[in-house]
Amino acid sequence: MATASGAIGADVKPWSLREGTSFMTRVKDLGPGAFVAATFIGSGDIATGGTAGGYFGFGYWWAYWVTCATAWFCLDVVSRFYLATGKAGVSMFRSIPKIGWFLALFIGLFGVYYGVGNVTSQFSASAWAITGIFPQIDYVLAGALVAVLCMVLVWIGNYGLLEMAMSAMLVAIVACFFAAAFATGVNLADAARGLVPAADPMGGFANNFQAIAGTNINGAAVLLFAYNLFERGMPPEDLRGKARFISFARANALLGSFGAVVVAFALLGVINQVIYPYGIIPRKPEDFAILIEPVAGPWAIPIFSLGVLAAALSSALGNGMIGAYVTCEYFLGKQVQSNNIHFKVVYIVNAVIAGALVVAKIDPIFLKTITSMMNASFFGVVGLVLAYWAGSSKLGYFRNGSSIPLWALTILTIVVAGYVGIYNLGGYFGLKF
Amino acid sequence: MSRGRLFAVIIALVLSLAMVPTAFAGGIDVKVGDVQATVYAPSVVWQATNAHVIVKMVNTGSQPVTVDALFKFPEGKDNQFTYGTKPAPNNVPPKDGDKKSLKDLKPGESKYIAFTYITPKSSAQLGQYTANVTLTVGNDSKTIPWNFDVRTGAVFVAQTQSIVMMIYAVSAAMLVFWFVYFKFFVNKNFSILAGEEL
Repeated sequence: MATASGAIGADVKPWSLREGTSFMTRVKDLGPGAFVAATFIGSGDIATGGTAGGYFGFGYWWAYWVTCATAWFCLDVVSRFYLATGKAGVSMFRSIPKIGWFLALFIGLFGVYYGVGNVTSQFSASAWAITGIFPQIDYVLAGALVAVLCMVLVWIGNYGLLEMAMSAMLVAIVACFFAAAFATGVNLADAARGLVPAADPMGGFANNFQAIAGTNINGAAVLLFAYNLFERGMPPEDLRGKARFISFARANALLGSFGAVVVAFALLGVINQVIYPYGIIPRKPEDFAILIEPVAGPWAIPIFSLGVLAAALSSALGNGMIGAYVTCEYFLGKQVQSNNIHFKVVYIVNAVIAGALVVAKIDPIFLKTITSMMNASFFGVVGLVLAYWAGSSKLGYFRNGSSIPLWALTILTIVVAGYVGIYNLGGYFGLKF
Repeated sequence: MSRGRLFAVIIALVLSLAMVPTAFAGGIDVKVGDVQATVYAPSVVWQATNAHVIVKMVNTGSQPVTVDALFKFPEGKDNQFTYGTKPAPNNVPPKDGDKKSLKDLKPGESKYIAFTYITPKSSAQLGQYTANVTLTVGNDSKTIPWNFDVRTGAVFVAQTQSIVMMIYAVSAAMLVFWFVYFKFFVNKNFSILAGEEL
């Protein structure tokens, strides 16, 4: 295995090899990217999109592009770190000099939070979506069914199966939300205007940007990418093989990060047409379905519900898995795959707790909002650590080197992570901005 | 799949998506005087979830008109709902309904009236309800019934602070649980203070 101390390719000028793969080869192998994209896009995106769109229609679409560019960069650094060291996730934090143990503890805590808190929110949204499609099914029963389904999928321990399920759900998410967008009509002129930053007339910039950053640069999903790559096997030993691998990883990172922009286009398109004109701020998937139905017709509820179900279910799997990956690596001191017994135990116990909270029928509205805020707090730390590694010589051939675009993205990540991190972490200590 | 078939599937998909707006078009159309109105309202509302009634109006006549709209809650069941975004007790539905006016709707012009944040209480009785919207233009008046189904929603609507505390408590408890699980049964060498060399 390559190690950072060996700094593979350190003597070769960074990014000097041309070992890319063809476009079709990249398209055919987008499983890890689809996994991450399906995890990125969850019930929080719907709640956040609803709030941002209700405030300003398409006005915040530019923020999705900026945050997704940052997300792509983070996924890219995760891939580079994995290629250079063969390690994923918690190692990135624990190996930072002096404060590594503390950062690892922070990540361990968030791993547990993702396994329970975030999954609770996703189970709840999934259960609601099922009752939207099948009104005769009780919410509690739906919640229990979703929890059991996720636990069974994880217990089977077949990563290939999980990747296929996540890819299928990503297709369902995109298809359903675009169907809803077509049904209500999309104002392309408004979408184009949304690409240019403009002042929010309702003064909601800080909160909306935090929420968008929180859902789009989900720090957990960023780390999940490393484990997805690890599930595919160890990276090639030789530098040329690694250069080809980064090409594959970057295509997946592109799908993983910008999938959220595509879905945001459909969501904001719907909101811009049927919600924004009336000054309504929807906060739950239920609000959405109800608002869409009058314009799009009764079919809107099952179609939109199916999209919500795919988004929430895939996030329940993905976020729960990152919780289990991180918890296992934190306590075991080594990364594990999804067929590891401790991985399965952690996921299932966390899911049982999350399922119990859902069955208690706690309104998930605030939970989703808080989830976005916690994601943003988490990203404040993850983004800065990734920016540190991007420039580190320990990545050898895969360090930023003299690449201007990579340094530009590093600076963007520092700015975004610094902003959302200080804003959100500061809030825990009573600081107001 | 051959390229030709793939192309045909894509074309069919695009065409079917293009047809979707027609297939999905909803709303109740009504003509009141010279005004063509369409009332959009949901057929399903969950407990403790907001519903909104939107009325789109187009003046098809040659003179400007004023449209009066009156929204009335289900008769005898208005106590099952709250109305508006103000906190209790200022969110009680008005006994005589809520009136809104759209003045000076010019010929050919299209505008909206919206009755927003109609919310069944979390304890609202489940089942079918009928509210109505009455539109008046000059001497002509039409009442459009709104039938909707109230379904089970969230039972416990928590406040932000209590949810935050719950998340902290559950996460902290689970962290301790996993510490015990791993430290005492799986990896006795685990140390919180340990760093890592690359």
